[in-house]
Amino acid sequence: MPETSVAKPHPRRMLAAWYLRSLDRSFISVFMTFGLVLLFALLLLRGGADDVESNLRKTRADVLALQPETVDDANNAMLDYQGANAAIVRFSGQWTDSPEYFASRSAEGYFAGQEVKTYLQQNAAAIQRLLQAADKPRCDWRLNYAAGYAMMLPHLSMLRSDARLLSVYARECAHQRDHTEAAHAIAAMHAIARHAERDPLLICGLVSIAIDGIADQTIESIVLWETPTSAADIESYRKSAGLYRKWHERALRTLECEKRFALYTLDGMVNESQLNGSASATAALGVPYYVGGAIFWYGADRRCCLKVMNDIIEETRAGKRTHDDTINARIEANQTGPAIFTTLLLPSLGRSSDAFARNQEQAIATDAALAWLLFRAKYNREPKSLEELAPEFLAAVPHGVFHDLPLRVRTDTSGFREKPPPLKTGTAPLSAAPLLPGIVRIYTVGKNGQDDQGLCANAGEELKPKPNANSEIEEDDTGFRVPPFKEREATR
Amino acid sequence: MNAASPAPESPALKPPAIVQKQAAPEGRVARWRRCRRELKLSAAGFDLQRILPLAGFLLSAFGAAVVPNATVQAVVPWMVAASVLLIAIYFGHILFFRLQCSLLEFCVIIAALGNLEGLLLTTPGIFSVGRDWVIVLAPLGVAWLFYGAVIGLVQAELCDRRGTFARLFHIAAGWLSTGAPALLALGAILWFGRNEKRVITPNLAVWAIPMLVAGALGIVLRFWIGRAASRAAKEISFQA
Repeated sequence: MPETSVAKPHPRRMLAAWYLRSLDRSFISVFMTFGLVLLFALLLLRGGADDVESNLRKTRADVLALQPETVDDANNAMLDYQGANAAIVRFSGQWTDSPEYFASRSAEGYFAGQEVKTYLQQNAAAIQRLLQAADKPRCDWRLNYAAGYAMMLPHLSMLRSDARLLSVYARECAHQRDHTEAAHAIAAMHAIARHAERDPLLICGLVSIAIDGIADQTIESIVLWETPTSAADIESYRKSAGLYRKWHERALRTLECEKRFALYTLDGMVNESQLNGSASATAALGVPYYVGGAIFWYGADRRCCLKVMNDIIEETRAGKRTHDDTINARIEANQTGPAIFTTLLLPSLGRSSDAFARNQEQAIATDAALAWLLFRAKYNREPKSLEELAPEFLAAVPHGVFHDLPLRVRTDTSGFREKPPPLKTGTAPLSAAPLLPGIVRIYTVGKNGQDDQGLCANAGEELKPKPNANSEIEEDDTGFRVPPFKEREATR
Repeated sequence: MNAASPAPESPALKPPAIVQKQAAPEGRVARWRRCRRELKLSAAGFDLQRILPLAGFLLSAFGAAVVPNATVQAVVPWMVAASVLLIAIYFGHILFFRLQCSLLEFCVIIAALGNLEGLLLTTPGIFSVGRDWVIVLAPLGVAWLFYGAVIGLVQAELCDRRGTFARLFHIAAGWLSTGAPALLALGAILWFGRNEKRVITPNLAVWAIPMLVAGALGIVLRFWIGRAASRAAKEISFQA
């Protein structure tokens, strides 16, 4: 191509020929248009001056620092859980026919049947192993924190199944009037919940709440259907439940952890070094770092996420609960550019403290209800109010967590209906008639702050349709149902 | 650099075939085919087909991007960057070796280039986008400015606009018209997404109107000048 070095103008004819062949340039035009969109977008967005590499190094170190200390095999409850789960014989039928389903229901005559006995005999070894595991104070799940949100957590579903099995065992023990062993099983369930939340991840905390919930439901169903009458039995249940569930300590721990994981994920998402083999959250998920063009808004998104998370954490540290309806406003207030990741993550994270608060309210209501039963056992009469339980059975009238209002008591003369199982062909709903008229409900007003008469839309009760059908506020009281009082015959 | 002046046509480069064929009558399709062939030969030195294999190169890069292999994916940005650099070199070569722009035009092009690259490389976001995006976007700015300037100067030459400011206007129009689709696309994204405040903040959304206006202006210039230049090019090419 000798012409290239010759500095002379081209004939117009050549220019014309080149110009008319515009189809040849169309490929370049299309390619350049895509490129220019990115170029102009970068100039408009400006992003942030954050150093992605150093951010990732720091957040990775922060995340790895969360890893709990390792536990040797002899003291590690994890191996017992694994052994127990290997020995479990699963129920082969439908969920609505399983002992686990009936463990928290009225189940008239179900626990006297041979099917439950056979099921528990088959799982006797597993249950003993679970009780041993729960007795161990230390548990190391050996999770890979470097994987970030892509970390595998197979133990969580396993622990929930274990808690359900122990729930059946506790209910069966209570049916056999062995309340001490039933209380032992419930204490084991709470220990499993503590082992589940040994890692400070939100998902672990939520599973721990679920397991606590199974334990609380088991106590309630035992109190309703296999009611303990001796003070010693009731006291053993009360000890097993405990009041350890401090919502803001658990929420704070979880939020600190989630902040580190969120930033680690965001840094990993935009960092190209993961292509060179360094482990990162998104690399483990198989997401290329440049997907979605997240790099263009990385800086603004990261700063917004960090600021709002720090606000929530500080608020939680001060003992205040973050209202989830304020989170969107906080994001907007701290937004300096697109906040896509922040918007996806934070609203759900902000609600986590609600879950912990409700869990603590349940523990408070359970404890107050068991104190109520203790009063009955001791004085052979119904207390007039919760005030009458103080100071002998309660230090003072307990207050709810959401609104710091004292617990309420209501005698429900109409009883309650259990939610029927999903209909199978040819079967009718279980509870056609209301159960236990005269039941005593001990409850807090819940998050919505209004007295819903101790009812909760998400509990196992079937509620009457609300008079105001347009009302969007659901019943959300957290409570405990105590069976109607039956006077004991005087001992002679 | 030579001052802008009318380029004399070289008789040696005039394809004799056109002259010979004028005597014999021929069909319209045959004539169109012949003229296309002649045009291809006439454009020696400007031939875009030399860089058309870029299409295959870029398609390979996009294909490699979806391969779940880190080593293969690491090559993608370099492939794209090489393509962009090749386009920049191609248009730079046409601009400085073929079209012979004046010193003033050269200064304007270099000033625009310095401003764009300076703006890009001093944007705080450049630290967060990472090396791979920088090696693609930095030469892309060069390629765009050279491409726009080439289009503008060729149009000026074909339309016989040889005044200093007229040529500068054509250069600017070339930049605007080649960047118009991108301006319109980005402006439309900002405009239609302005209610999604989590993604497009109000201070970002204010750019929607200027970008749409600039894009629309670019499209108008593209058709207005482009039509005149095409007509002139056809007259030059197909004259008997």
